[in-house]
Amino acid sequence: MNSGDEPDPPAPAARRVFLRQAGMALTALGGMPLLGDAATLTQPFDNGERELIAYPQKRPLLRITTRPPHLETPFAVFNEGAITPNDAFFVRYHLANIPLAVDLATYRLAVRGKVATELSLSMADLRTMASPVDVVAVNQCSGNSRGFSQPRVFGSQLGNGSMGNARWSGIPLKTVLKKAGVAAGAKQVTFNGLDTPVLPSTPDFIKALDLDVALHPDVLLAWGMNGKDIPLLNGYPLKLIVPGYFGTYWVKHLSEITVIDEPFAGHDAWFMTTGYRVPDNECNCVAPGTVPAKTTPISKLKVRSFVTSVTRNSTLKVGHRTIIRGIAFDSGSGIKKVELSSDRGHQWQEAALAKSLGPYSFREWSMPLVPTAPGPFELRVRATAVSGETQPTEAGWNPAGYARNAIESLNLVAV
Amino acid sequence: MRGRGLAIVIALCMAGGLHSPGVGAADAHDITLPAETAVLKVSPLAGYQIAVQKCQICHSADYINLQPPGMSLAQWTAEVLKMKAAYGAPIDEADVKLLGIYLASTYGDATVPGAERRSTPE
Repeated sequence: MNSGDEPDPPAPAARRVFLRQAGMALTALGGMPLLGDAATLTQPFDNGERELIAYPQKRPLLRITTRPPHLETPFAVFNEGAITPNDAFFVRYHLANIPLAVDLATYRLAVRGKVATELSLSMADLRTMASPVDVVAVNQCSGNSRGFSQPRVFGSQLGNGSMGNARWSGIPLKTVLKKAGVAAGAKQVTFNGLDTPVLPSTPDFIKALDLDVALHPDVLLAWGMNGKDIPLLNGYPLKLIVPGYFGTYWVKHLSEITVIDEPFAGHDAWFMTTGYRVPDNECNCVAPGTVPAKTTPISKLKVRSFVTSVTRNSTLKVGHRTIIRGIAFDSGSGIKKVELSSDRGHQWQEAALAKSLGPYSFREWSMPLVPTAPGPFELRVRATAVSGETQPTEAGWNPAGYARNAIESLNLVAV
Repeated sequence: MRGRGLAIVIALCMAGGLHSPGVGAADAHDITLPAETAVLKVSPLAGYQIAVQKCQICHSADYINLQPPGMSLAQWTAEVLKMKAAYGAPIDEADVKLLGIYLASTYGDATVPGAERRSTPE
């Protein structure tokens, strides 16, 4: 079994076979066959073993849950480049009745509520309404890295791979809102997709954005992902793209847009009014184990950076130059600098930033490292955004394990 | 707000089965999901049967299997209560209590008061 969600070299076929056999042997020996005989990766936290399962249009990904499907990207993928391939992009649903097919002959996007003219738009309507635009943007799950919360919290136990960066193509949401004609006094816009709850007593998954956010020109109704149709499990045929905001707002299989003139409320507002909320303070954190006095809907991404080219416990040769590479991102101001420290944060050295693919994108960086003495050492990486935002040394804690962005550290060995 | 007025081709995936492969022409976006293989840890506790019958209406067993170890009876019971209060799980107060005991003693803190309450054979 593999250790760590930090990057591992792509598993060669022989290793994959070994992992399968190991799993089968475990079952044959009477081990608890909770995970069957699939290849696995193990995240570096308790109960972190995950099956690698290939879903439709996907390469084998870490299965977090089966129904509704929730798949995480193996971290090694982030060393393949700044763009996350469609077949490696993470998948996350909340409600188990998900569309397994969408017929474009009957699919329509409804625009209703406080508008001058209600609309019912086919994909062909959307594709011809305006010139398509692209934005490269990171989609990160609110709970990415939740498994590292200390103390641990309930929820999907995610490593660092519930994020991805893609080139999204579509038209600005505001183009559609303007066509419908937003009424004076409108406050928010809500977004619903084709996925539905199993029971009527379960809230539907509907998200709300304040009108000024919804009208931002970078917010897209997208059908394209890295030049192809968005994979079904990522929201085909239409996905709301909210660059700089956590993935919870990026509604899949978008089918219904409603303009409202009062704050979103009621049974089906649960994922705004109760779920996906963080402590309403600067760090979105509270003392571990305590309940926040006041919460607010999670919104913008926080600046983060990761090393992608070496894994935990990788060995580096003393006196040899190794190029360390990685990625960084923030909510859209752009990355100003990325620094590394190999002495537990006393001294920091600035990495070289690669070409920018846009302010919402992963920004690749690299830095040569020459270990001077043998032994274990810790490599830390810290990004600073153009906005001035940087990463905290200690991870803040909140009850749902949202929005983690502490400085990452990696134990390496010089030999 | 649930797909009102939308003629969509939708196949339910309850229990990972029942996928009718395409009312329209099959295309790359007409998918079949891998089988659901995760199972709950078997237990003689009454909460086990309730979990099999109720929890798995809305989600697969891996939602439970992959939670952190060591959660207490109070934590597991609060989580079950959240399923009832937030997600409308069809469980009553007695179910909440029994589910908490099953989950905490099977997946969490091993020494749970009340875990000796076994289900009666039928």
